[in-house]
Amino acid sequence: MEQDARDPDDPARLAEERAAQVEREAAEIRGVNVPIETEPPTTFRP
Amino acid sequence: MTAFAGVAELGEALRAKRVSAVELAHETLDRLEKNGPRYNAVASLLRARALREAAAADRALSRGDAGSPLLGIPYGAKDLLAARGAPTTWGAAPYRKQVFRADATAVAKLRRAGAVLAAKLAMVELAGGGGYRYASASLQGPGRNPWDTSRWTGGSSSGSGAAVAAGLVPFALGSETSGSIGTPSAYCGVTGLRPTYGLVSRHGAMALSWTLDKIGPLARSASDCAVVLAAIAGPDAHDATTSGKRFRPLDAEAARERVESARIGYAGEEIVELASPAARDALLRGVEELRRIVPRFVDARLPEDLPYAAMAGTVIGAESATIFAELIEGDRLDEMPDARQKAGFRAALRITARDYLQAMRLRSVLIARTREIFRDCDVILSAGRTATATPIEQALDAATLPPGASAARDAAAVPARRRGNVGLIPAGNLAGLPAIFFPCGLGSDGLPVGLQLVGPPFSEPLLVAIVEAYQRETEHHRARPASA
Repeated sequence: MEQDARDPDDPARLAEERAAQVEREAAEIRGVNVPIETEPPTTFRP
Repeated sequence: MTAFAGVAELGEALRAKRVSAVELAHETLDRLEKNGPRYNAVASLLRARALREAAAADRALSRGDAGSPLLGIPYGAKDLLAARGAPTTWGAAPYRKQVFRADATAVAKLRRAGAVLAAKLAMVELAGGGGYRYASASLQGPGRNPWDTSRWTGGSSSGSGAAVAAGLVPFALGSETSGSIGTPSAYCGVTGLRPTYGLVSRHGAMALSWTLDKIGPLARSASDCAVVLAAIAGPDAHDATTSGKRFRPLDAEAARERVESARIGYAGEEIVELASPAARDALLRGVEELRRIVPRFVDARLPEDLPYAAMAGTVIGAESATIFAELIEGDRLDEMPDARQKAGFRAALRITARDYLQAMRLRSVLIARTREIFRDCDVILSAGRTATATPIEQALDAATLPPGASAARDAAAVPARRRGNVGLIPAGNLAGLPAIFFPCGLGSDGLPVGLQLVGPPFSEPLLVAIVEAYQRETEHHRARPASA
């Protein structure tokens, strides 16, 4: 495992890590397919 | 005399005139003032308001007008709820001078029920939005656990958990976006109730996530939570997301029947395989105690193909970054101490509409799937938290990582298989489901552990009835920290 030598609270390191987290979470949720043929109507209610 | 007394006990003492509401308020205020700093629990003491409200309660009591079970009962409110004329800091330095001109609806409803607001209680800054690393991410300092002040209270309703656990107030209001009532309840050994999304108005409460925030009570018992929930639930013209539904507990006969016939959905691997050594045995004993009261256990598991943490992270990130965009893009964010939290807020500004909407779309899938689960069971049982309270200096994202690893790099190394109902807190919040958190004993380290029950929307009467039955047969909710 690659070690990051920077302080764990280093702002630059945290900026990279949190940006990577956003990307990772995006990939996870994009990875779940919702078939549009059977998708129910939107949940928005005025 | 009144420390650690519950709502019903105090109400009985007030009606019997063994104590006046003003005397009770003085005792509570003095306790908060003297002991609150030990736990960093108090954001502001509302002495003048409390004595004014208590005097009004005494006048009502002297007229024989004792219809409300909360008449003259003191409490504290998490500092994200507005209280007229008092500081409402949201736990964060950029808002330390903020004052609102009106009470939040939940606070106003408690005022109308005769309750006495004694203090605003400390919280993690901005209810933890952005994702903090250290317990010190709070304007009042790290929440110190009354069971061991070198341990954390849990967050973000840190002061609410500590103040109830230490006997400073009989109940408190907290809020949960994803875990902020449950975690302090579990770590501090108190009972907490997260209502169904929309059951309690959020008007006057800081918004962290419009589609996830809920206001709920922390108290010494399920019965006390029910009394508070009955007062704060219901429609509110100021909050269009309120459901219009109210909460009324089941009567004794209906409660007995519903509890006896209830089906408890349980998986258990999240306790057997994932609980910390200090917590595991007490959690499993608690499960067996509950099984003696509600014997019908069935296997129930959350869907394994939905990424709950990523869904919650995306929704909370996108909504909170929009809400706090001006703060994040300005200079005042740097007044907040937690570097990870600030980096998280900044990164969340870059969440795309596509990803936010995909996360919301998956919530609809989750809601449909949880409906299917609740065809086969009435409630889901799991650990409140699978570990006891963390040391106050420990990085909160460190417990799950090997030494030297970074959160970003190693999340990909987490095993894909979800064990039992380990994601119940984010999943339950994403689906808007109610939950009750209740203590089930002490871990081998002497710290509280607790269980949670999650039910379908608006199943609070059953959740309360089950835990009331459990608390009639056990004494865990009466345990007190030695230092308090």
